[in-house]
Amino acid sequence: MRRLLVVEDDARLRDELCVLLERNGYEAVALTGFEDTAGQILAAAPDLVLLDLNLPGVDGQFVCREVRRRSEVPIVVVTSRDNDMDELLTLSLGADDFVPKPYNDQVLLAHVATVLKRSYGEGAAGAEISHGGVALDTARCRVSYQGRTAELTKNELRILALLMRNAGAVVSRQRIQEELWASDEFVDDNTLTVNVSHLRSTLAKIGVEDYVLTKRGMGYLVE
Amino acid sequence: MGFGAYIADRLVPLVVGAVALAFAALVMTVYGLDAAATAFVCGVLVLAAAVALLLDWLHRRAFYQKLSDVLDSLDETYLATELVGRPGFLEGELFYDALDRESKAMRDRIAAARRRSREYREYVETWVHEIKTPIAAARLIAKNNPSPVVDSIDAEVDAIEGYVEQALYYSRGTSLERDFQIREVDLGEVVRDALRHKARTLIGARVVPELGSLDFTVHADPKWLAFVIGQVLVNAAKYQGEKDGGGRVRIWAEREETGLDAWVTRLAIADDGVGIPAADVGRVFDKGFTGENGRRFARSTGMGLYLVRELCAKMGVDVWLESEEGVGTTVCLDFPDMVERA
Repeated sequence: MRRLLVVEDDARLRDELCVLLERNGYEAVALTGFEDTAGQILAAAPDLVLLDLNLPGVDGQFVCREVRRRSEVPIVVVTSRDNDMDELLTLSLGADDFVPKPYNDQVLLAHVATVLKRSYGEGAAGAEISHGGVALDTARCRVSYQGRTAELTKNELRILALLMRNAGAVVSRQRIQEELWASDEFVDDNTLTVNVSHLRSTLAKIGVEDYVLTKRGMGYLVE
Repeated sequence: MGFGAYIADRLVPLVVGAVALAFAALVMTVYGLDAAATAFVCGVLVLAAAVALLLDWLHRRAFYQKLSDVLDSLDETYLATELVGRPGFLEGELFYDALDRESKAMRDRIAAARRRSREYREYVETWVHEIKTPIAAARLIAKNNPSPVVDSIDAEVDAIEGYVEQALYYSRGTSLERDFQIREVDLGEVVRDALRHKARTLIGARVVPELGSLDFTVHADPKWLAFVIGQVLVNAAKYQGEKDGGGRVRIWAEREETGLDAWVTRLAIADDGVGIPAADVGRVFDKGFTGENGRRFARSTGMGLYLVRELCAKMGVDVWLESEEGVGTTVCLDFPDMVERA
């Protein structure tokens, strides 16, 4: 599992970011103090750093440069300063990517996954999600159950991953659509229904029945 | 300043001089001076006066001509005294000094107003950046704890984010400074960016995009353009009307010849919503205009399309729309070719 370090001074945002990352198959650790931020980042030796530029008492761009001077760890800069100059400057200081606030959670995850993939090779970003005996290999687009494996389409994978990550909670159709839109699949309501029914028949082929439940008027659920 | 007008302006001294000359000629004749001598003296005096007037006229005209040329060529006419030198004659100098004082006071005021507006704009930028952190936190909390109530709060946070974004672009778009960067952008990329950004609004209104060919490169500021497209998309969602099966918004680009050998790349965004009443079509880009649709269908601030027009104008993009009630609205952005023809 990839270890991500969150460097963000807003406590609430930091906690929620960690929850989001953990739910998506990463190990998330966070800095809570910002003395010698660069040193702390290096000491933590994560696989990727999510760095907020506006830190108390220290300039994020300086931190970025310091870390880059001593390590090749991928850095994704998250900031509310969204002008071109900052973006350029940050990238020139050695950051690998730049995501402006307030980000869409799926967009942020997509950026993280891309940078991980670029830094550690194909499959590095993929996390395995498992729930109720069903295992999902997000890097290879495969689902397996009791030794039987089936291939999923990208959309089916995204839908199933979202439902499994939120297992026990009803996920609205809107939410699923948003997830798909975040990766440029601008599907409508009908396409979503078709995708879900394909997903169910794929799951049935490897012997998983009644895994994705429909909650009428609310959405879908993996119990 | 024509010669006639100049002479007319000096009518009093000329008349006085003429009367004095006539009187002198009379006296000379009475004292029995030779007619030829009298005529000679008068001729010399008249000639001298004419030469003096002509020289003076040319001298003044040079100054006034320069002043009027400078005024014609300047957008900011209050800078004229900086460019026209101080003239070499008394009235001109008095006038020049007065004008210079006046324009200096004006320039100071403008500088002060500019500074105030820049400070205000910087404050708005800072404020917008600060508020993005709590918005980002609120959105993550909502995503991490999905439930119908939280989802609907999240939708409201989305609306707040939309208004915050409008405020930011209002302050950017109306500022006197030019802080955007025109560069080559991939139209498809910007459109998809805007769609992702407005996903929740569109999905909530059950509006789905149909993307046509967007394989074009245009010159624009990518962030500004994404904002502009986003505003158009939000309108498509807002004025969707009640329809079974949701709405469509078709987005495509094409090359269009707008004149003799003049081409534009046109981005068209066509919704199948309620359309705009014919009486309102001409005014939808006006600031604060809400129109009949604004009253009937959605809360409208009359800012969206106004900002679209302002930002497009700054980027040199021509924006216009066609609409038919009950059929839909098509917004077109025309990007002119940047290639300079020899």
